[in-house]
Amino acid sequence: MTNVAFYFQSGLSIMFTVYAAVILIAYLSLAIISLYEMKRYLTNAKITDFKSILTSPFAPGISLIAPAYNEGLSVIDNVKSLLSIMYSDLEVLIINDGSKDNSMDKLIEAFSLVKVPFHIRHLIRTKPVKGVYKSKNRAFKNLIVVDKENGGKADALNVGINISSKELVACIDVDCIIERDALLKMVHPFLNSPVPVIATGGVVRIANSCVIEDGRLISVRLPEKQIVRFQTLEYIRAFLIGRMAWSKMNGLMLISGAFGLFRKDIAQKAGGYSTHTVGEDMELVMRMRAYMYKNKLPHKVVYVPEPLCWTEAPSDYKILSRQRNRWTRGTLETLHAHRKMFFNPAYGVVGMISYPFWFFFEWLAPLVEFSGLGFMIYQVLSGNVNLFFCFALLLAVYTFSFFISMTALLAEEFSYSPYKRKRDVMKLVWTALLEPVLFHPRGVWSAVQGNFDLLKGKKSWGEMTRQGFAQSPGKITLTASV
Amino acid sequence: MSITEAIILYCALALIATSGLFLVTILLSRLQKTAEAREYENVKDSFQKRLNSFLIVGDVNDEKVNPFSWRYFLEDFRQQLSRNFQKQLLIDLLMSNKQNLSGYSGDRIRKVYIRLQLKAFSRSKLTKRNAYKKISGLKELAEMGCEDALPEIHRLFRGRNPMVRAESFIAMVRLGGAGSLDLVRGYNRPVPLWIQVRMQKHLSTVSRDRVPKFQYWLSSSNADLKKFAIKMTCHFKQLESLPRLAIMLRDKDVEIAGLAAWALGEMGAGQHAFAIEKLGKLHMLDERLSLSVIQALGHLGKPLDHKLYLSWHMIHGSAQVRMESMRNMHKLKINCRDLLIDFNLNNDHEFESIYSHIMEPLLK
Repeated sequence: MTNVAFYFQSGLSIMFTVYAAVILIAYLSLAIISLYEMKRYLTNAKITDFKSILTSPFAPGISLIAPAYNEGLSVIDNVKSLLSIMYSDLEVLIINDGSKDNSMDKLIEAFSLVKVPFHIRHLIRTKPVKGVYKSKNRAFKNLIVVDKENGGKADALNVGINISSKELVACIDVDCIIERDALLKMVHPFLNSPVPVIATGGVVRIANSCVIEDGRLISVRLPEKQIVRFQTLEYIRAFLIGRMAWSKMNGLMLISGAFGLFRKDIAQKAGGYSTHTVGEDMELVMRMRAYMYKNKLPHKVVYVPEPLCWTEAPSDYKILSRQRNRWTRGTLETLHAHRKMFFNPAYGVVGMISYPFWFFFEWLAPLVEFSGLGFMIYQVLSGNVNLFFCFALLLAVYTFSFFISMTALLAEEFSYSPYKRKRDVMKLVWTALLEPVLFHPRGVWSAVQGNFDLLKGKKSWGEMTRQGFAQSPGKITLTASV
Repeated sequence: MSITEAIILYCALALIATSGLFLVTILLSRLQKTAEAREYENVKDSFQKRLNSFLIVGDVNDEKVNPFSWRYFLEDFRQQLSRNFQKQLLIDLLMSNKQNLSGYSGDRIRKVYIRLQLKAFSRSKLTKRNAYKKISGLKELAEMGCEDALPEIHRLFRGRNPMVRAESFIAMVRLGGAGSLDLVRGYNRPVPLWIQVRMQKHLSTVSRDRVPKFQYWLSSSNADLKKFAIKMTCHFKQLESLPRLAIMLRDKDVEIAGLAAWALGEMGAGQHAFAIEKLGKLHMLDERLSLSVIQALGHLGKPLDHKLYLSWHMIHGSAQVRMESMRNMHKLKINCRDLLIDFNLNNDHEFESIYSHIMEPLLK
């Protein structure tokens, strides 16, 4: 081996080792901070009477914005579920984003809707609105349905923000199931924090296999399919271990698109959702933060560690791969759009810690992992590393991954564990053992593909059609297909 | 095996062992939770049954009518209260029962709380280091109306922890009643909306004579307290504070002045309509203030007096102000159509769109 090749390989080895060590330490630190914060939140929540907000004239009004595209099968149940959410000053805005199915007809019929001459303030530029509808039935007086030309989820949300008449906007996916008291818990940081809060987000959980009745979650069950269980574990890890710590450090950059609550004036001033990215949820939070930093306004983005929203997860690898591909493209697009934040002290914790973390350990990690594995195989084949060392290293990585999953399960046990049966715990532990081998590599591959797709200029979401809720007498079990 | 390999292997083993420990902890926690939940339910059921018999069956609950039954009832209960967990559970039950009862029944619950030494238990929490215990103690003492604990509560009010401070603030207003202003005099820290929400909720349930006279709070040096007092004085329609509110229209803090204008509007103080309009003219470009003034004039004004002022706002930079001005002109029966024709010479059809919006019954 020539000297150059030797130094190159040694350099790469050191680089991969340092990278691995830093990522392990970072995740461990996040886990410790999260567990501490979780304990604090739980004690606090125990002595907080969230229902005080219900009758208060001082609580801010909320507009719940739910874009719907080809949701004809379940849209009525979903809207009824949204209308039953507990909050006194609430308006529900359903934005029909140019659906090709009969969603709009169904809505008009079910809620006795009539077209009204609604004056729309075009503070954010959007695709044309065909009509705004209100119900003749006073029971649905807080429901507004907007029919518009198709422009994507971000565009539909922007229409909602333009139409909203309340101080706060809750942006959700129409097919999500929101807990009845979710808004009370989400709005609490806006009322209680000494630093102005501009956005809050909650834990999103997977609803596959759960029992649903009239758009309400009746009983929580661990998903039956292994692929969905992998995602369940992944969600527990991401929501309980990562975000709580970022919220504590005021470095949270992402609020899930499935359910987030924002201050409308700041969202408008920041320009609303970007229609040029597939990661519009993260991009909006980044832009709102950038606006606040630019104007030197103190602010906070808060995370509420309670399962407030239930969503459907992809149940086959093809759709899952598409979803992960999109997430990677969204992350990269957002990081690129806000590249001036990178190690920029003017952007506080976000610029100095969160952004670099996302860059190195969220976006770059799959690429490093993929190339690291290739490098290791090459080293073994070329005889530079012995097999035993390679085995020891893989074992260490595997056990660390298992350890982090177990930490997340422990955090869940001491917080709001929805899976009550001991059998479910054992199934999740089994999932944690299998995940690094069977599930994680696929995720890494989708992320690598996502990077290449973005380079090739791919911008689409990839069309998702839903089967909706499989009806059974009285009860509904959530299933999904493409 | 080299040293590096040994270290890596030991690390892996340590991680596996820790993960195993976590698993055992999870399973043990499940068992503990189940056992605790069962015990909680049993004790709660038993306590609630006793309380029901006390509250519903007449002869036991009156000490004067039947002192022996009363003593037996207390003694029987006292024997069940050997652990703090049981004491806490009983306090929680008493509090939740008291929230739904008032007058004589509420007093009897309070009597049980005091006779069973639970007040002393709540008071002891105020001296604990744990902030949550302090908060829990404060809530219990406030709910049970233990006014004699006010000096201790006042000490906590001056403390460092914002959550304890907030809770003691609420407790002082609850216990101090109409005279609670003296207790918070000189308070210069923020009053978050959450405290305001909780205070309003509590004050909405008490009799009028227990509600503090918020006009005295209007002269506080604390801006947050002032804003809160304006909202509360408006909420409880305390008309005696109108002169003070009128003076506040000249407050240097535009937010406070706007809030005062809004409150005067809500309370129907027509005599101050011109002062409100004057305030609006001084701050035409301030969106929030303009909205407050327009809404106040919509409640109070006379069409001829305020037509000009309101029509100016039809070309305001803020879309919301434009809409509100037209809405309130319509409310005052000012004919917007004539004005629309003039404005539309230079503008697009926005005014017609706003006009159609405000005229639509379903959008009111």
